[in-house]
Amino acid sequence: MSDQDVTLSKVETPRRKHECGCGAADRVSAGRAEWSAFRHLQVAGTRVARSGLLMFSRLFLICAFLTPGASAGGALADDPEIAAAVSTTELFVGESLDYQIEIRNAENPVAPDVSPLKEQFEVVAAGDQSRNQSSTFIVNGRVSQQNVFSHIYLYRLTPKSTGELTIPSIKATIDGAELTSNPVKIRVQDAEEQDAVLVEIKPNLTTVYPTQPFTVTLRVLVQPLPNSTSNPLQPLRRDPPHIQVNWVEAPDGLTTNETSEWLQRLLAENGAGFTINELSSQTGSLFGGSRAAVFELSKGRETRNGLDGKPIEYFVHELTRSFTPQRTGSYSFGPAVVKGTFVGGVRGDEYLPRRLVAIGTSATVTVREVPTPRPVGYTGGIGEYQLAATARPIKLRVGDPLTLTLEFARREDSGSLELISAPDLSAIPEIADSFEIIDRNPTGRIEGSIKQFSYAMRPKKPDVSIPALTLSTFDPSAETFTEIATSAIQLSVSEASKLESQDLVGSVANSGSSEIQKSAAGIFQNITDPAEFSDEQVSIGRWASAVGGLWCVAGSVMAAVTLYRRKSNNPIFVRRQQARRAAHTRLTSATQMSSQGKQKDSLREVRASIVGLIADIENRVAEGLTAADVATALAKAGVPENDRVATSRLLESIEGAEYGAGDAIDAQAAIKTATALVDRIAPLLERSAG
Amino acid sequence: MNIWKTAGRVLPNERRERLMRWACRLGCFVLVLVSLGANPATAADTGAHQRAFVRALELFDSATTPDGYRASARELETIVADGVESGAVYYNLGNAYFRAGEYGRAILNYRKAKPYRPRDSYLEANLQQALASAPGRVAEQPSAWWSHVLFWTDWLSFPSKVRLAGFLLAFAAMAIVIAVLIRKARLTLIGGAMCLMAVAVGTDVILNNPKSFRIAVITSETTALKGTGKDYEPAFDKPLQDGAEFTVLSETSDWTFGHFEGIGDGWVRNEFVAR
Repeated sequence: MSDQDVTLSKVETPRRKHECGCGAADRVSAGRAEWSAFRHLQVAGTRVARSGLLMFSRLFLICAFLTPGASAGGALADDPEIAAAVSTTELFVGESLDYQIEIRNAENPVAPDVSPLKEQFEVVAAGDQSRNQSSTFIVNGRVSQQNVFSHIYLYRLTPKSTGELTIPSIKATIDGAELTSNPVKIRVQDAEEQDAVLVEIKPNLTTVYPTQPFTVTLRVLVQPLPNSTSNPLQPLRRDPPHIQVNWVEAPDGLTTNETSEWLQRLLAENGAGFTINELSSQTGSLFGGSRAAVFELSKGRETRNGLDGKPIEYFVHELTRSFTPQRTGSYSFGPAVVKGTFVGGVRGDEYLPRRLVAIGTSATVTVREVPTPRPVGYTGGIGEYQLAATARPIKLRVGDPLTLTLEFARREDSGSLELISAPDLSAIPEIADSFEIIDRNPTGRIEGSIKQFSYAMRPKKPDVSIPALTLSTFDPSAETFTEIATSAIQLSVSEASKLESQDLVGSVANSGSSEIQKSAAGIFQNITDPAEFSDEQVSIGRWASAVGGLWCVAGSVMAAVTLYRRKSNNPIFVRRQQARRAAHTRLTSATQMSSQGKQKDSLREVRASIVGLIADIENRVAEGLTAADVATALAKAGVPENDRVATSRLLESIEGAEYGAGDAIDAQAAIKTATALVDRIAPLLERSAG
Repeated sequence: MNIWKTAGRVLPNERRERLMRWACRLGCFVLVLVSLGANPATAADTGAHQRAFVRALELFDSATTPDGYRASARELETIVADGVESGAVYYNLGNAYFRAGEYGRAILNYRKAKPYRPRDSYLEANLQQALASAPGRVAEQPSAWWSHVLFWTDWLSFPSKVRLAGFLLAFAAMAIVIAVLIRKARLTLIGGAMCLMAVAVGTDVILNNPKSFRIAVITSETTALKGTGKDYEPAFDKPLQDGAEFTVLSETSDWTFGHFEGIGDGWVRNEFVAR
């Protein structure tokens, strides 16, 4: 089954409706339904086609595996074919249909020649799509491949005439052979003459100029309900009538607002209204998806004569959109088609349905260039503008700067303010003679519907004023240039105290002078070197903290040095500092003496080391210290009792040996004991002395 | 014999020189630490700011309408909004606003660029051009008395002044420490002179700190009032125009009270004020 088969099966339901229909409109409606289904598949685009193609390919492969001895015949072996199909065979004048050309069994087909269609149809190419398939079969260990080639070309055709039409055969040349498609017959019906629904397209202007906005309005007049004054669309809520217009998307060369912005406010709350093109809205239901959006376009009532000459008070519905042309050309709006089931009468309590199709003939809007020649003072404005001039200050001296501001205020239907350029004031002799214009071509500033130009000027002489300025704009309705003028501005310009011509900033040098003068007008250029860009931010707080910290360190160093020097000059402090070192020096000397055999001298040095240590630390005379004095000093310093006893014993032993009152003692043992005692008692003595 | 006396002992010349070298090395190390401590690396993405700077230049070059120049200014304003202080950015901002016809903002940004580019003659020329073009220009504030004393104000940029003051104080500290160590009274005098110079430059830094600028400018026509409310009478007989500079005296969330030189004081709504 191909995608084309799917398309045909989908359109069967509307055709059955057609068989029990009520006339030409129903037949066209059936065609419309068929077209809708076709379009659905096509517009849904490659997504549907591709997913279908993928499914098809998988099925094909599964079948190939399940079928023993499946033939692996290559499609390439088949001859190339071409086939034509249409989305509908019945439509109304103004409607379009989709025309599809499929070329099969050609690996690299070329686009068919559709020029024969252009005699009867407007032809717009709608793209092409490749449906090539490649399948690999493995049957009983035998691998074979099958390639299926298919390429589809799509076109949108709009019939130029009504009646029975035949879409002629299309030719395509494949591998040197010329293939011809099948012709297709279609029926294009003209709308029947009726007065139940009238459709017309009305632009507010038929000739405009670039950037001059205009509106296009589709007006749908619907006959009222029989014996009722209520809205005739109210009973049609379940199947609202449909509007087809060709300006939902802005034509090329025109700009307009967003579709959602345009139509959002027109959405019908009660479902009574029209559907427009393929516009849809979300249902909000989990399974509902999107549905056609319904728009409320009601604009009151209007009386017109019906076909029988009797007046009918129609319900008017209007769909208006504003466009702004960007370039010249001719723009066609329509034809617009309104179709649906309307109320055609009443039987008892029930309304009788009547399917109707009404067509509004197209309207054309032409965008022209502003004619030439154009006056000297033409500013570029199209339409109606108000011009005003202000000057500040108005009381000044010769040479003082003044700002002249010109304001162009735009009317609603006038051209864009972007078109308006700064008038050249230097071309106005009254201005040029009396003022030096610093900036001759100022950039305009647009605020809302006003554009401002600010000229910086300086009066050249006293008692001058700004004259009335006359400029031109183009009036599109009269197609002539019209003049707009400002009021004269009275200035009070007094003489400068000492003003020479060269003092005027921006003044032109004397013609007789060859010196080049510096111009003060304008500004010097930007800094363009990125290397000059850097973050120059400095934190004063951080600098102050860093410097403060440095000063704190410096202060501490100075304080420490001063303190050290002060103590260094104190002999008591110096003696105490050197006490331990002196004791060790003596013990070293005692060791040397002992090794030389001078035992008594050695013991004398041992005693002197301990007594000297205490005398140096406590700033006493060493020679007068006895063992009892030493014991007292040690006790006062908090030396442990065993060290005190050991020290006393050592000193008494040495004294005993010295004076022969005791046993001789070993000098080496005494040095060792004294060394240990010095190391233990010295810190305690130093701490005690402070 | 040439000896150096300290702590009651004599030191030979060699030891004195070694001590001097050690002091110099320590001083340099401390100065580097001071510089690093005072200039920490910024976390901001300087690459992104440079790209914005270049993009603003491109927008400026392609602009043909005031809105085009405003787009360039907006790009530069994003850099300023990130806390970046750059004379080049303020200068280009002034140019963009000048071309957009917003002379008040142009003047303000040229003035903000001044502390960072004090010797840029083009900046001064553009500022004068903006002042001449501004419709609302009022008399400029007279120079403060101390600006005559601190005559070097326009010689150095603000960051240079901060660094100079910092380094002067650091060198002064080192000089005094060395003077104490080697007992040289002349070094103490040099250190004292450096301290005085640092105090003078530091005073300049404090008085001319761009972050404490009290200058503001009117950006579009408005009427200054005598109080914060529409019921108050106008402060001046004419409305203020774009480019009128004033000194901010006080401010609220909606109003700014300013002194307009040669005119007087008045309250203006904040939407007409740029700072």
